[in-house]
Amino acid sequence: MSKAKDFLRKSVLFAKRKTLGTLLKFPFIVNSKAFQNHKASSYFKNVNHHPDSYHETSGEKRIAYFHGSKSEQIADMLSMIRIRIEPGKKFQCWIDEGLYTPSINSMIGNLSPNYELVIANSLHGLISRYEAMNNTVARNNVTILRAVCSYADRIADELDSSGLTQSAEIFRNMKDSPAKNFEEALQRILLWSSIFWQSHHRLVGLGRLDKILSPFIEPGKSQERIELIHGFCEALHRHYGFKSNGIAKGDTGQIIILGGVESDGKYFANDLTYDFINAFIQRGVPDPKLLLRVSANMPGEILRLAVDCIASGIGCPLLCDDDVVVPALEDFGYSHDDACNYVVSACWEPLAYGKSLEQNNIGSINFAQVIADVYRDKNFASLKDFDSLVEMYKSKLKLHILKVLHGLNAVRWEEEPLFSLFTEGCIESGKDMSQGGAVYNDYGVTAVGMSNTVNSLLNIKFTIFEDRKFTAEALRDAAINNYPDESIRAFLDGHKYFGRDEDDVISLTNEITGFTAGLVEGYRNPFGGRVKFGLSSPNYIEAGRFTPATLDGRKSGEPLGVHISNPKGVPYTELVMFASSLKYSGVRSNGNVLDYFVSPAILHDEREKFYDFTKSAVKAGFFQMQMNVVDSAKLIDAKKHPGKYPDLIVRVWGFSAYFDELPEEYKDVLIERALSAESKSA
Amino acid sequence: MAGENIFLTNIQRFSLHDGPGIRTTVFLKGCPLHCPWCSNPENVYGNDGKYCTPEKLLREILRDKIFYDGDIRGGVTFSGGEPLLQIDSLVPVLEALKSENVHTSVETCLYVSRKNLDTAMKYIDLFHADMKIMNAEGALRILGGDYGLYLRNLDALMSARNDVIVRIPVIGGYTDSAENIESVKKILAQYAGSIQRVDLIKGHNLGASKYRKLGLDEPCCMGVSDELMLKYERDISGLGLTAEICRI
Repeated sequence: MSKAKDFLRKSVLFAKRKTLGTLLKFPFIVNSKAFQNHKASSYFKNVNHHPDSYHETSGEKRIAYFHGSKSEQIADMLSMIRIRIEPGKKFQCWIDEGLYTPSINSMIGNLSPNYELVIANSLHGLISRYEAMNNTVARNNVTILRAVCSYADRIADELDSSGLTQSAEIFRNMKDSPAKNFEEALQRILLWSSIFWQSHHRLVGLGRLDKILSPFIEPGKSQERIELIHGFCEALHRHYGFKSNGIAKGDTGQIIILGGVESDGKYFANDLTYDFINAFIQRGVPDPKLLLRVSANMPGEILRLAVDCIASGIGCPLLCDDDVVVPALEDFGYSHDDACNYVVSACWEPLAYGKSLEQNNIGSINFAQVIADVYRDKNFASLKDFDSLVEMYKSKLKLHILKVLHGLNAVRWEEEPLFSLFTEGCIESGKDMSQGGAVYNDYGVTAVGMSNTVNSLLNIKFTIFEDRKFTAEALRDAAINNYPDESIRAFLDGHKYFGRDEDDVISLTNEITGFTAGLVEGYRNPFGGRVKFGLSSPNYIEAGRFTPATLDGRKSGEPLGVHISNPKGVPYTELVMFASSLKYSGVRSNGNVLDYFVSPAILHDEREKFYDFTKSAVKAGFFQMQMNVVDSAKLIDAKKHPGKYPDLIVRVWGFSAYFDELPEEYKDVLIERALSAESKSA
Repeated sequence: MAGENIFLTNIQRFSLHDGPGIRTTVFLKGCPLHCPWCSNPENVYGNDGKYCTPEKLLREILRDKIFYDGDIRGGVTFSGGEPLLQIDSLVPVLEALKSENVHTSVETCLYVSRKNLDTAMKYIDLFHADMKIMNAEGALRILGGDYGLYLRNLDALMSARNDVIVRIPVIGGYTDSAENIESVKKILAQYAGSIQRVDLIKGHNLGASKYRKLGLDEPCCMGVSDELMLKYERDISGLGLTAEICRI
């Protein structure tokens, strides 16, 4: 193989799976080719060991090359896809895992295209619309749409020759008419979703499906719709390994958004909202996943159904409290209508549906790292009081955040005709999404370690400045040497504050996020877009590896705290009241998830009370909330005996997964959190 | 309000087993009895506990106010120990809770002065009242209580209310004898119109570690059979009352 081809192939493999994850860890060097080569080779090794990562269909790798036009590259790709008809299935959907589309720059992803465009229009209708316009985006749209027409023809021909004439008809209809019914609409979403995946986009969401599919609701046909939803989810779940991001299988970003407050303040829901949740209760499979937008004025029966779904143990739906999220997004700069029409990135980071570049997970703030910077400062031991401690923390945090922000502008985005087709603003401005063509062009970063930080700072406050139990030197030495003295570590570990609804804990947390907001507000990306952050991050284990010991008794390298979660012994109501006292508005709105464990016994014996709890929690005003319904005994047994509970599903971060398929340390974190929720020790 | 005059051991938010809805349970220290099977000995013996002002207690209770207003109305439960021993100190809290429209309940053994019971009846929305050893000799010897006082209080409560929840600990060797069960049934029948529900609580040893911690001998209670519990439940249902076997 020639050197050039080899490079291309490695870049492809690199871009294929890890772009966002890598950005997250190394935002400042993402554009270095040397780096890409190096990472690509190591990645290439990994990918070959992944059991079902690629070429399910064929051992041969094929490449749709870039010849100067991304839309033509995608057109070539469409012509090269090996179609795999599945006669027994309700829906036809596949990914040709041996076929690659190389990219040099970072791929835009982690978004939900608004598929309403291709449901409400025919391909030919769209082609004529864009042929009448004269700009780059319009021309790219036409190239892609024509190629999709040919692809649909090819599929229809193959379906015909397999005797599946009815399915063939559904594909032919795509060219000349809007979707005629629910089944056709779902098949269109599946086709376009597969094209996104095929062109190596990652974390491709599904969008507000109850909303965009509402024209296809026929009264009294709920059971038929639920059957179709089962087929639809089954089709999305194929290529599970290929779609999963990183080491934890299940992080596919295939999120379906349901419900939500409308611009007029009324709560939107329809029969499909119920159908989707009911189907998921029956399904018991971790991917795709649901997010339910909730509000104090929603019908109680939908929330009740959501609680039933959560009680089934599949870790979803994630609940988003619109009464908090919508105003926060307006404060960030979205119009009222767009704030009301939000969806989220793969996990929980909100964005304006079908109007956003919003790359919401391209960097990470590590609040806990800064604690180490503080106790390593030569002036740490001579600090006089808590206020000067907080000032020192802020001065170090500033350096950390500026470094994170600085890295963001190094990112170059690959030309993006596919998302440009689906994203408002691009066709109007004639600018590709990678050039800032969308209506909103913002970034987002996640944040880890807030709980470790608040606990560390308050531990210093109480043990050094108030009780004088320890000297500053003793604490510093203990942390630098990674707690050789277990008694100091145990004491610090035994005093947890983050998650308690006490004034000093709440005000300290808000002070730190407020300070961060002040720094972040000044940032503008090359498109004039802003950046937001939130207190939830997938990388609490990964970032923990590189974070020195913190003064909450956490040793160097151990996982950081998970999102907004409760320390041992803190009841759910207190955790909710704590979370509802935090400030989330404006740039602080990039996902803030309350995350906790509930014993299955509570949901079994006290379902009504738990529903009441959830309803009141919505009223109290959290930002987002998710839970694991599982007891520690089962998790411990499952870890000991892999294969004993093949259907055991757990919520990991913004996704659910089969427990058996998780890396061991993820299992350990889950077990420890379950034990803590039951007020037991490991 | 007064000073730090409420002696308590714990305030437990998100309590699901101490009355309707989501509740905050306040465990008050001190009890006139010494039931050998007590599962909360820390509320009876020793010096552990903290003094609290009515203001502070009220603030703690109101933290979860939003959760009390569910489809099933929750609120606060005063437990113990025997909460009615401190009812005078609780009055300012109870008055404030009334004006905040927070539902209140108590778990009482009724071995308290009539004056304290009257004060409680003035404020408390829901009573959980115990039926333990139902004869004067056993009540005095085993529990250390005046059975006559208990019966007069029971009568006063049952005459004033129609929604009392009766709690019956079924403890091997203490309350499970045929005579005791007959006495309980007789009294239940007498007050059937005042009773909302009867909770049958099967004896357990959950408190064992607490006894060890307090330096006390572990309680020696014999278990009772599931058959006995089921028969007890049927017998009570036979009186036209709702009975539930509680898993605590």
